[in-house]
Amino acid sequence: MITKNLGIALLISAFASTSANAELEAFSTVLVDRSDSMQTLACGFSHDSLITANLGLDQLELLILAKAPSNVQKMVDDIAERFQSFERIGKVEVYLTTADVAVAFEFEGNPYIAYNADKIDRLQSEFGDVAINAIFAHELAHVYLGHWHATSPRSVKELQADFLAGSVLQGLNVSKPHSRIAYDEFADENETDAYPSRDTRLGSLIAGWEKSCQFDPTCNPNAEAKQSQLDAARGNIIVDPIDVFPTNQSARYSSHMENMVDAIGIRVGTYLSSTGLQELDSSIANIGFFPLQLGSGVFRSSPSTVFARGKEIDAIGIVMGDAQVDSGANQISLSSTFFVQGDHGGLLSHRQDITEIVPSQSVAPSIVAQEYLGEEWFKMAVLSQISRNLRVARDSANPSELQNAKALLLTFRSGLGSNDPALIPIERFLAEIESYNAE
Amino acid sequence: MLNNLLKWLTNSAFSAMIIFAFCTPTASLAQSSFSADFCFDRPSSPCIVPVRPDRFKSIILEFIDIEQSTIGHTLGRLVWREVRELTTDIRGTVVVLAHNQSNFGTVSTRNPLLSPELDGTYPAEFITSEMLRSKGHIAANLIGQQSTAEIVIWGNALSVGEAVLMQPNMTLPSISSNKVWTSVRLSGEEFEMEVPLPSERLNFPESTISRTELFERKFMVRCNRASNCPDGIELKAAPSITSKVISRIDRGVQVSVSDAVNQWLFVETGDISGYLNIYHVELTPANLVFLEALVTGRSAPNLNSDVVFSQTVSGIYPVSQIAKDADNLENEHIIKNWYEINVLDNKFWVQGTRDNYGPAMPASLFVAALYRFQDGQYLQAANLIQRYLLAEASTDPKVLASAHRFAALSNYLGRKQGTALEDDYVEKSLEHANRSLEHLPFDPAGYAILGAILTSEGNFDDGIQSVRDALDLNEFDPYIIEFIEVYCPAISKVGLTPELCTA
Repeated sequence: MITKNLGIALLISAFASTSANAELEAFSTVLVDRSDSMQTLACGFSHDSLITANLGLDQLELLILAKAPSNVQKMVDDIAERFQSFERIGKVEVYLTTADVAVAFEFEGNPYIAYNADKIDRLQSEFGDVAINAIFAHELAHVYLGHWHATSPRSVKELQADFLAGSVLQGLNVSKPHSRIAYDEFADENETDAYPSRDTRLGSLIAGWEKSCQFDPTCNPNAEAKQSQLDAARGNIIVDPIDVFPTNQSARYSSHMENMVDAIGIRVGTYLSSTGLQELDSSIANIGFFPLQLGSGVFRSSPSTVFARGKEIDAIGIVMGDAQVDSGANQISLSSTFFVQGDHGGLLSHRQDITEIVPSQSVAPSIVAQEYLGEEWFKMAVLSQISRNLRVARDSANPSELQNAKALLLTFRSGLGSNDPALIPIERFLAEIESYNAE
Repeated sequence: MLNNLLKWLTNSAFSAMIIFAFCTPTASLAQSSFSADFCFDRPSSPCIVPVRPDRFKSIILEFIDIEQSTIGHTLGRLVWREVRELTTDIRGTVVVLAHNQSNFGTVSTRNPLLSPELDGTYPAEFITSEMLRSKGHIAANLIGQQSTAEIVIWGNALSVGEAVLMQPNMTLPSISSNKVWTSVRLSGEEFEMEVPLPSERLNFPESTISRTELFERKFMVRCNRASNCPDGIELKAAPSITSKVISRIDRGVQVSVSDAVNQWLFVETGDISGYLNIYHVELTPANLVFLEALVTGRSAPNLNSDVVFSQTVSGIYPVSQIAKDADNLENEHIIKNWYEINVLDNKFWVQGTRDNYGPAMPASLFVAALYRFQDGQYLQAANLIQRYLLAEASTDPKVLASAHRFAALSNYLGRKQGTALEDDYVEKSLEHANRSLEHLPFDPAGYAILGAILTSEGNFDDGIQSVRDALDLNEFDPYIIEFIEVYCPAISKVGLTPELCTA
C-alpha cells in the first residue's frame, strides 16, 4: 500500500481558525499528536484501540484513502448546521479511512472526520441514511466540544458527545429508535478503557434527545406513541397518517387518500375472508388498520428504519404513502412493510413500493392501491399474525395453542400456489411446531 | 408546512375522522346505531330472508362502491344481466339482483333479500354492503345460506374520473354442511359415491378500464314486457325514475352508450340523448369468445348472405357492429343477433349464440358454468369454464384450481353425453384434476376430487392414495373430514377398507 507521511499534525485550538482546511491527499498517512495529558487528539466512534494499533505513546496514524463522496459530505454539513455557533468551527472535511467506523481528528488546526466506508455503507444500506446520522453527529459533537483539548476522562468525553449527538439528532427529526441504531451496531456492549458500556452510552444519547425535545416546540409528543397506543397497535397494520395524507397539497386529495386506505382495508378483508382463517382464529379476524404517527424519523425511503420501528412496537405491518404534484403530473406513492417476527431464525420482512404517475385531474390513489397491491402484501399480514400466535403458543407451552397454529398454517397453505414465497416461512413454522411437540 | 400539517392532523376533529375511517369499516352505520355484526348475531330472526328457495339461483349483490360513485350499483346490474343472458334457457333457475332500494331514489322495487322487519328501517344495500365490507366472504356465505342461494356474486368497485376498477368475487356458500357446497354423484362400473364439493371463496382478478370502455358500445332498445311497449321506452332527462321523460325510443332501435349512473345508461340516438334504464337494452356483447369453434362468417347480417369465412377459431374478438336478425325480431336476448367482428383481417358477420357471448365481466362465464353444471349439462359447463380461462388471464391459483376442478368433474360426469369417445373425456377430466393440483399443490380438496374420480374409474390404489394425500395435507380440514365420512362407506362397498378409513 502506498502511504505518504504528510507530517505531524499541529496542536492548535479548534476554535482558532475559520479558514479553509488543508486538503488531505489520498493514500496519505496522517499522524495525529496526542495531547499533553496523553488524551488522543482523535476520537473514534468505537474501538479506539484499533485506531491506535501501531502507534507510540504520542502519536496515532490514520491512513487517508480518499475524499468522502459529496453526498456524505453534504450530510455532515447538514448535521453540522445543527450545532449552535458552528460557524466558529468552520467546515469539517470528511475522508475515507481504514480506521474502525469513524474518527474525528484535528490536523493543522482544522477539524476532520474520517470514516470506514465499508462499515458505514453497510449500515446505510441496511438501515438507511437515518442510521449513519448518529455516527457523524457523535463525531461532530467531539469537534464542537473541542474534546482534544479537554482534560476530562475519555469516557466522560464520549458520554458528552453521545448526549450532544442525541440532542442534535432530535433536532434533525430522527426518532429515538433510529438514533440508537448505530450504537446497537457498533458500540461495545461492555465498558472498555475508552468507552462506557453500550447501555450507558445509549442512556446519554436518549437523555440528550429528550432534553432537546422539551425545548423544541415542533417536537410533537404524539410522534412518540403513548403506551396505550402501542398496546392497541400491537398485531395490527399501522397506517401512518403523516405519510398517507398528502404533505404538499393539503386537503386537495385528502378524500382520495382516505378512500385509498378504505380500499386497502376492503382488499385485506376480502383476501382474509377468502382464506377461511378468520373463522379459525379470532386474532386473524381482528387484523385491521391502526392509525399511529411513527415519528418523523421513520423515512419511507429507508426500509430498515420502518422495520426497526415496526419491530419495536410489534406491529405486523406498516403502510405509508403520499401524493404530490410535480410539473403537471400527480405522483402517487405507496409503500408497505410487513414483519414476520419471532425466534424463527431471524426476522423476515416484506416491502413493496408503488409509485404511479397519473394524469393531472384524475388522481385515483385508491385505484393505485387496489391495482398494485399484490396478494403478497396480505399474505405477509397473515404470516405475521401466525408468527405472533406461534410465539405466544411456544411461550405458554400450551399444546392446544400449538395445534391451533398448525391448523392455521395448513389451512393457509392450502390456498397457496406451488411457487408462493410464503411457503418458505410456513414450512419453517410447521417444522418449528413439530420440534416443540417433540420436546 | 410539515408542522402545519401535523397540527392539522392532530386536531381533534380530523383525528376522529381518521380513526372513524380506519377502525370502523361500518363507520357510516355507526351513526345510525347499526353494526354489520347485528346480522351475524341473529340466527333465529335473520336479516336476510329466503328468496325463491325452490330454484337454483345466484344472488348478485351490488359491488362495494368505495368512492361512492354509483359504479357499484351499475356493475351489479351489468353482471346480473350477463349471467341471466347466459342462463335464461335453463329451467328452474333464477338470477337475483340485490340492489340498493334507496339508491338516490332511483329504484322503486324493494331489495328481495331484506327481512320485512328491517325493510324501511335501513336501506337494503346499507345492510348487505356493510356486511360485505366488514366480513367479506364470511358475509357472502351468510347471505347465501340465509337466502338459500347457491352462488353469491359480489365485488369491489372503484371509479375516479374516467377509470373504473372491478374486482368481482364469488362465494359458493356452505349449504349442506360445514365447508361443503353441494354434492354430485359419481358412478363408475363398481364404485359409486355422492361426492361432496367444497364451498368456494374466489377472488377474481381485478381489472382497470375506463368508464367509456366499459359502456361504449352499441345496444339495442328492448321492451321485455307483456305490453310490448307500444309507446316506446322512456328516455329520461336525468338518471332517476322521477326525472322528466324527454323522449321515447322504439324497441329495436340502436343506441350508443357512453356512460352510466346506477342502472341508467347515458344513450345517444340521432339528435337525442338521455338516460335509459339498463333493463331496456339487449345486453349485446362487447366481444365474442370462440373456443376451437368453427366460425362461419357472412358478408351481411342474415343467413342468405355469402359465406366469406369458415375456419376453426380460438380467441376473443371485439364486436364492431350489431344487427337484429330479420327472422327473430321479437327475440330480445343475445342469441340470434348478428355481430360484426374482424378475424385475421377478415371482417364479417356472425350470428350470436350463448356459446360465443363475451361478457364484460369474464367471471360471468364461470357463474354460467355452474348453472349448466347443476342442470346436468356437464359438457356445456366444461366449455364455459374453458372459455372463462381463455377470456380471463387469471393468475390466482385458487381461481385456476377451482376452474380446473369443475372442468375435471364436468368432463367426467359428461363422459357419456358427448360425441367423442368416453375415454377422451376421462382423460380430459384427469388432466384438469392434475392441473388443479399444479395450481394448488397443498389443497386437500383437489386430491380428494382426484381420488374420487380415480376410484370411480376403478383405479382403486391411486384413488385411495390421493384421498390419503388429502388427509395428510390437512387433517383438520372439515371438508376432508366430511369427504372421508362419505368415501369410506362407498369404498367399503367394493370390498376395500383402506387404512385411512380405520385410523
